[in-house]
Parts: sequence; structure tokens; C-alpha cells
Amino acid sequence: MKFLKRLGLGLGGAAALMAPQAKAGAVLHDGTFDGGTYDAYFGPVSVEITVSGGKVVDAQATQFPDHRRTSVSINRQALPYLKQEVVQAQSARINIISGATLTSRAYIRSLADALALSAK
Amino acid sequence: MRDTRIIMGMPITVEVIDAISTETMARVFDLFESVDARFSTYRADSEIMRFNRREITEAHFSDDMKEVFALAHATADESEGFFDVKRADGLIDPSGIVKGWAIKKAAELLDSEGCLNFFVDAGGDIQARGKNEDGEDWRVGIRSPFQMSEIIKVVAPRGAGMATSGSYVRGAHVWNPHVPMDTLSDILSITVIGPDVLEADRFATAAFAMGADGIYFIEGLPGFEAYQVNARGLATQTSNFQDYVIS
Repeated sequence: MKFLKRLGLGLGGAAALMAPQAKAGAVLHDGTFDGGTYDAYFGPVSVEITVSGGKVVDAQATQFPDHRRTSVSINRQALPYLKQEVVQAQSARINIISGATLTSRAYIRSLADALALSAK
Repeated sequence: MRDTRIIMGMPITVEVIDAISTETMARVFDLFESVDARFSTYRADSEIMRFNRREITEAHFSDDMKEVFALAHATADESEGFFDVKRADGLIDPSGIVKGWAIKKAAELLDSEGCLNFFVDAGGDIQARGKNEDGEDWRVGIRSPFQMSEIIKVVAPRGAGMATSGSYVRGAHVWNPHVPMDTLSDILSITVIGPDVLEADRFATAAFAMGADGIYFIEGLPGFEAYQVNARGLATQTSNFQDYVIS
């Protein structure tokens, strides 16, 4: 769960933006706090945080979308082989970033809830 | 002129290279505010929530709501039902299409004001036109689903629209030894480049819901290209995606 932990802490600023009740510098009480469940379009997302020594030490998604329908009728025979590559970090200059927000938005809301609860 | 606001729960950035009045810039953001007021499922007084509470019927819909519903139904048909405005909790929520639709309207507003070089970015979905301040094609980085601060591809959409649909949360599986190996083939994100941002957004949403099949679905759509990343860190791209790639 290394990834979630990093994501949760990294989104702290965004969470604070969305949860005015969890003020910056607010004292967090130790314990485990569940954020609300939010719709991430493909399904519900909810986040649980663990606070120890007044710091968020873990953030876990306790529920996340696992949306799968049975099949889509795609005729692979008629399609060419698609090129694959291992993703690699790029250092080229950019003007804009494209990334997913749907699930992360729901994640941030739930995380903000959990933070607000721990600050009460 | 460049400005960023948080509206609809996400950062919205507008950058215009041409001379533009602060009033025109304000109108672009007002457009997003009004879309949020009408379509937000987080606002009890929004038109969509009044419809969900059956206080109004489709007969009372505003022109904007009619347009979005028509688009949602068309997308559901075109994606064999993978795009669905009905959520798991039963609520009718067309938000999977509203973002792209709003960005397209914002870009059209700037067009009508004579702007030629700009981009509108709402939560990672983008419509760019013309050139950047250095006179080059706008350069868009595709964010890594594994590491939010990392870019894994740089492309120049050159007037096309671009949208990414995905789940960063699902990336947790990669590090979770308790989850069976087959989840590593799960799709973390799919970035779609299409005729405009609305087209890119609605088909990115549908393609992501299809899982690994999504890239084949986009391959079969004329005028669309895509870059799909799975939980193993392997990316699959459509036949002509390379035409947009800078690095």
C-alpha cells in the first residue's frame, strides 16, 4: 500500500482546499477515520486514514470502483496489432498536463472527510 | 493571460496568448460556474438534482440539459451501453460528459472573441488551439498513473481535443501482494485524442469502462487515437497515436 500512502499524503493540500473544516494546522487526533463514500462515476470510492502522533501515517482506499461489464463485441481479428511500450518518465518541456480526475476527485472528497473527522 | 480557478471540484486553467480583456476571461469562468450550478450532483438546487427528486421532468429541461442528455444517450448507443448516466446508487448523473461539453463551450466562447491561440484545461481534459507563447504547438504531458508528479508521454494535439479517464486508486493493486496477479493487467488510464474535447471526453469515459478492450474500441473509431496504460506499466497505443507524439 506504498502507493496509496504516497497519494494520500500528496493530496493533502487538495484535501484542505475541499474541506474548509479541516483547517491547515488543525490538530489531528490519533485513530482511524473513515471518509464518506463518493461516486467516482465508475463506482464508489471511500478512504480511511490512520493518524498517529498527530500525523497521517496511512491512507487506504477501502472501497474503489471495480466496474466491469461482461464483454464488448470487438472484432479483434479485424484490428491490427497495437504497439506496446513500457511507460517511461519524460523530461521534455510541457505546457499542460492531461490526467484522470474522476476517481481522484472522489478520493479527495473522501480523504477530506476523514481528515475533518480526525481534526474534530 | 492565464488564470486558474477551482470550479466543479477541479482546477480549471485558461491560458490565452492573444490580447484578451479581463472581462472575457471572467465570462469563460462564469460559464463553468453556471454549468456547475445546473449539473452538479453536489448541489441540492441544481437542475439535475431537481430532476432526480422528480420536482421537474424532461419536459421542463433547459436547452443545455436537453443537449447534454441527447449527447449522453448518443454516447451510450455508440459505446454499446458502456457510457451510462445512471449511477450505481440510482442517481441520474451526466457528469461523465459535462466536463468535455463545458470545455468545448468555453473554447467556442474564446473563438467568438477572436482568440486564436489558447487552451482550456478542466481537470486534465483539454482543448488547445493555435500555438503557445513560443509560437510552437501546445505541448501536453500525459500524467503517469503511478506517480502524479511524473509525465510519461508528451504530445501535440494540434487543435484536437484530449481527455484522460482513469483511476489512480486502482494503482494500489500493483503493490498489493494479496491481490491476484491478473489484476495487474487492469487498465489504470486511457488518454484519448479526438476531433474536439467533447468527443475525446465522452469516448475516453466509455473506453475506460471497457477495461483492456477500450483501446480496441478507440482503434475502431475513425478520427480518434489513444494511449492506454495498464497496472504493469505497459502502454498500448492506437495505430496513428504516434503522429501526435513529441517524446
